[in-house]
Amino acid sequence: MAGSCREIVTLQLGHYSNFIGTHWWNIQDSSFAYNPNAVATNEINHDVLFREGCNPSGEVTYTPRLLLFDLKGSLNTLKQNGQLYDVPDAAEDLQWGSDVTMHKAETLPKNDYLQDLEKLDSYEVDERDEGGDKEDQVKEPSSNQPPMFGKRLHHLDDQVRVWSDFLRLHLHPKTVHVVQQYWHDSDSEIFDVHNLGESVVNDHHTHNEIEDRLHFFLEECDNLQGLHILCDPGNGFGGMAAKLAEELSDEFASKSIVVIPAHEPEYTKKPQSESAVSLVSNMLSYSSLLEHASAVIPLSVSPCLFTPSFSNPFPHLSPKFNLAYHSSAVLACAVESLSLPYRRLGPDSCLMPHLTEALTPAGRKLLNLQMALPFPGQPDVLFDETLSGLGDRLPWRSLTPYCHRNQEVDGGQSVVFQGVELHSGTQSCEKSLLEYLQKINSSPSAVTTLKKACNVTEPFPHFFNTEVSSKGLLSAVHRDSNTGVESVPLLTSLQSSSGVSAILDQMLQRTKKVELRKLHRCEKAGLDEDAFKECVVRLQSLHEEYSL
Amino acid sequence: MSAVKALNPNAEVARAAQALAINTSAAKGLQDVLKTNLGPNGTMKMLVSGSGDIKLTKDGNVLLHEMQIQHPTASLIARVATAQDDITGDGTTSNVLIIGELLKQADMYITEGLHPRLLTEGFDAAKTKALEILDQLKIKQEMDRDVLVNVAKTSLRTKVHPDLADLLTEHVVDAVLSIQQPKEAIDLHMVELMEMQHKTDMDTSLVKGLVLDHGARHPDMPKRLENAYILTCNVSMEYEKSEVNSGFFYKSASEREKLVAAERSFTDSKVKKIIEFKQKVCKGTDKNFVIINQKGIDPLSLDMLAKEGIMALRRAKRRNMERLSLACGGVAMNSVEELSEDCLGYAGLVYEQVLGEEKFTYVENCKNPLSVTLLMKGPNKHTLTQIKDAVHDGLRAVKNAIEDDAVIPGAGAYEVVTHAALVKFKEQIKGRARLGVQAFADALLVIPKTLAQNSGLDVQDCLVRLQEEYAISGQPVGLDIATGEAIMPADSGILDNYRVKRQLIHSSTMIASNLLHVDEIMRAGLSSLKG
Ligand SMILES: Nc1ncnc2c1ncn2[C@@H]1O[C@H](COP(=O)(O)OP(=O)(O)OP(=O)(O)O)[C@@H](O)[C@H]1O
Ligand SMILES: [Mg+2]
Repeated sequence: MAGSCREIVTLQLGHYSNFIGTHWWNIQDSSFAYNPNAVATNEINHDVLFREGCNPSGEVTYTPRLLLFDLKGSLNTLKQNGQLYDVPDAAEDLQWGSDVTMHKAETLPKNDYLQDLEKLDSYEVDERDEGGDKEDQVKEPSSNQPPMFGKRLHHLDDQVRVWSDFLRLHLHPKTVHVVQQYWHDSDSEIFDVHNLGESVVNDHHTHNEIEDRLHFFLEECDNLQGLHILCDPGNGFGGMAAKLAEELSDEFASKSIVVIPAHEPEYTKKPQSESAVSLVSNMLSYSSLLEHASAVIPLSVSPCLFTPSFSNPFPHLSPKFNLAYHSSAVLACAVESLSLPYRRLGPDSCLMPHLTEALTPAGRKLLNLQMALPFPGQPDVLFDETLSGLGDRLPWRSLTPYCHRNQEVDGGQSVVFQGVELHSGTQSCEKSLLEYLQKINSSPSAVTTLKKACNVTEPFPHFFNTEVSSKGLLSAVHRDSNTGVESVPLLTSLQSSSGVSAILDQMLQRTKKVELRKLHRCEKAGLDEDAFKECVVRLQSLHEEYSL
Repeated sequence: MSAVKALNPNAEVARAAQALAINTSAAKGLQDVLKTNLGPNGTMKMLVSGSGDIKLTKDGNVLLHEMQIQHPTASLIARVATAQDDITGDGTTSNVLIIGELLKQADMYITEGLHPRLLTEGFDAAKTKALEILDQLKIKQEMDRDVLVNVAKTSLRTKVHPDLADLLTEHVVDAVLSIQQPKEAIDLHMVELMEMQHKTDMDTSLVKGLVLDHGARHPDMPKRLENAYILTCNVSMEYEKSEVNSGFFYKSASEREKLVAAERSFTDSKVKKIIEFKQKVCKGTDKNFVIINQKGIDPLSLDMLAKEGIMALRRAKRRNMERLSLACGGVAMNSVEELSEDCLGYAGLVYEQVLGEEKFTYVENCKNPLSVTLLMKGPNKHTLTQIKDAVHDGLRAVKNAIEDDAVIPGAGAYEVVTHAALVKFKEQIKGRARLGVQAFADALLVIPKTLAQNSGLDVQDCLVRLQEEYAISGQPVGLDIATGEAIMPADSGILDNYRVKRQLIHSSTMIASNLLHVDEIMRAGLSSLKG
């Protein structure tokens, strides 16, 4: 009974959060080393976020400890219960005394990428069926892949509509919960107000269903360290997240709950009433999440909320931030990186509650995140040299709205660097980084370094400029456009800084112009003026704590 | 607008007719979809989504939830019909059919120039009369097990195959009878519905106790215990993080481990207290000991408990804690400080079953269980869902019957009787409002007609036969869907819920009347509903 696995269960609530989650799970899935010899070089304890199970055919499965929520009609070609646990040849033996009619929607076409994945899946099955002597072969994905899946690049930008269009792994049948009351992309049943989400969770039937699924993932954990909650805070999902965070924090008082509210960049200006509803929902979500979570990390590729913004802060990428597929990929790298300190293997790993406690002194739970994607390493340049070459120009960009990259860090930071093996140096990367950080800023820093760079193979978008080599280094020799980038060195810093309260300030400033009485969507959803006033007061006092 | 009126007094009616045409066709669309569902011979629908997800149902409420209804009027009707289900648990299909029929009848009269307001006046009068008839038709006898079995059977046979329906019937009735407490409202939440994916769907069973979908997490714990004390508690038996900042920035990993060890002893002492308590109550008896904890139990604690032969389950669902007390007796403990024998519950048998990666723990042979579990088995997810929906309806039907303390003869009897009564009643109504009463009466007949149609019978024949038979005998007769003959539904055990019919009459009249008052205000109302 190895007590070494410290499980984390993840919740994703909302379509954009699911985009991020999908990229994130893809990144992890692509880094699995099936080669048994590689175990020694594994740096990440995948059992923290994944579970081993067994399907009805008796096969071992390995799926995320994940419960995700989305609306009806949002899954496109994905079966809600997945395929991993399908009962083989369970012929439909339908018993009914009278007529049965079949109402079959047109089978949705899968995009090239998913079709290729499917072929790969069935290829693996054939392989297994062919029997015995192959067993001993080293199972390395690259040698196992049929050639057609080798080098060909897929261009998914125009093909991805929903997150399941680029999901590369199988999910557990209990993972996908479809909110039955609302339709995705519908204009008659809009899930736009925080309170609508609360009502969904309060619905008796739904509540039981959620409790059952959560229970399934949580009960099996021997040493649960905490939960991740990714959510879209500006609509009903924020209300669901808040409600669930409240219940979970009550039930799991000693665990850590890290909430990541994710804001999709706005590309077009929304009608005023719509943005007011979104503002109100955001405020309700933040005020409740800040009460129940251990830490709240707002993420967005956009520097501000509620107004369209087109800037791309990253020098070596050309992402199309009008695509959720692209912007969510950037945020997925951030989530992957920031969670590594408590997911890594070995004695240096810490526990999630340790990290959140250390970074949230005096109840300041809002954290901000900086990220260098990729870290600007060059072939043949020593790591120390790269750092000193930066001078006091920090290599990262802020992924938290209203924070900038030179944010003063007053409450400590957790810095993570992936890709040590690409960089040689006169001393260890960890030491170099610490020294560098100390020069810039005197606040305490904890540094986590990993040898392996962050995997960005397909279906991660091809948005790196050609100066980024396939290994992720900045090179004078440009990469051939038919070659994808496989991995990139990545640097993030999760920071506790007073400046992060700007997001609260912005919301509070904006509500001054909002007349709640005129927002009948909110009224209809059951929000009364007093409740909202209370929320404003709470946010005000939270905000004031930062200016002390 | 008033200018138009001044010019043409008929303008309002003309506009209403137009709007109504839209409304009726929207209502008709819904009606067409649901019509084939009605009754035990209705059509089962298998819905397959574009990604291959399957849903199997003939329940109006389930279908309405599956449809993405764009038309505001249709969606309004759908909402009323599903509200019917929320309130009473049944009658969605009938509701949609009657609303559709009321509007169709109304459409006819309005095109002929009848003012909508007169129609709705007629509807209102008819509604009051129809409710009177409903009260007269109440079968008031003791709601004993036999009656309840018939009620449950009538409901279940409209949802699943007769063999399965009959099996479920007994379980459903016994489940409700078990949890019923004198002078208290029946709380159906005390019937846990547990799904088990398993090859045959015939062995769904009723467990007089609780089935939990998890098991002991230690290989050495007993898998089966008889004659067991049950300790339900909400006490953390796992390593808790310390309150002090554990030194994320400065302390080394080994120092952190030491902190963990210090905190460990706190957890151990709680487990030891429970073990001591177990020894005290079980010593010298043949009693065994089971812990069902709402909080976590970590591997080290499980280990200690296993050594004592204790079976321990962790992270029991919150909703099961109350049920456990009701099923086994005892009270849930929030600390280990005041453990005493009278806080313990009891079960004659506790055992574990493993199915694939899922474990189930049965807590059975409880003395007087006020909470029970219906264990539903089915070969796949969609069959399980179908069974679960049917069981839900069955439970509601039984509860309704007990609480109404009455039932109504089904198979179209109520509708035929009320039609006849309304036709007579019409004579007392002055003026053209009586046409509204006639419309209402005719609309009700959609139920027996559709029952006949769905059974492949000649609709006109059946209706005439029922009406003649009723005229002669004066007895509430219904349709034998196998033969098309008239039968006495009460004798054949075809019994519907009183409150379902009542709600049906209320809400269908209300919504039809609202839709008839179609004018600009009404449309504005709809568009605001649309959001
Ligand atoms: N054995 C039977 N013979 C004739 N009619 C029956 C029989 N059993 C039930 N019925 C009638 O069938 C009708 C109920 O059908 P059904 O349950 O399919 O629809 P519903 O209750 O209106 O809607 P829902 O889909 O919400 O259940 C009632 O009018 C009932 O009297
Ligand atoms: Mg029914």
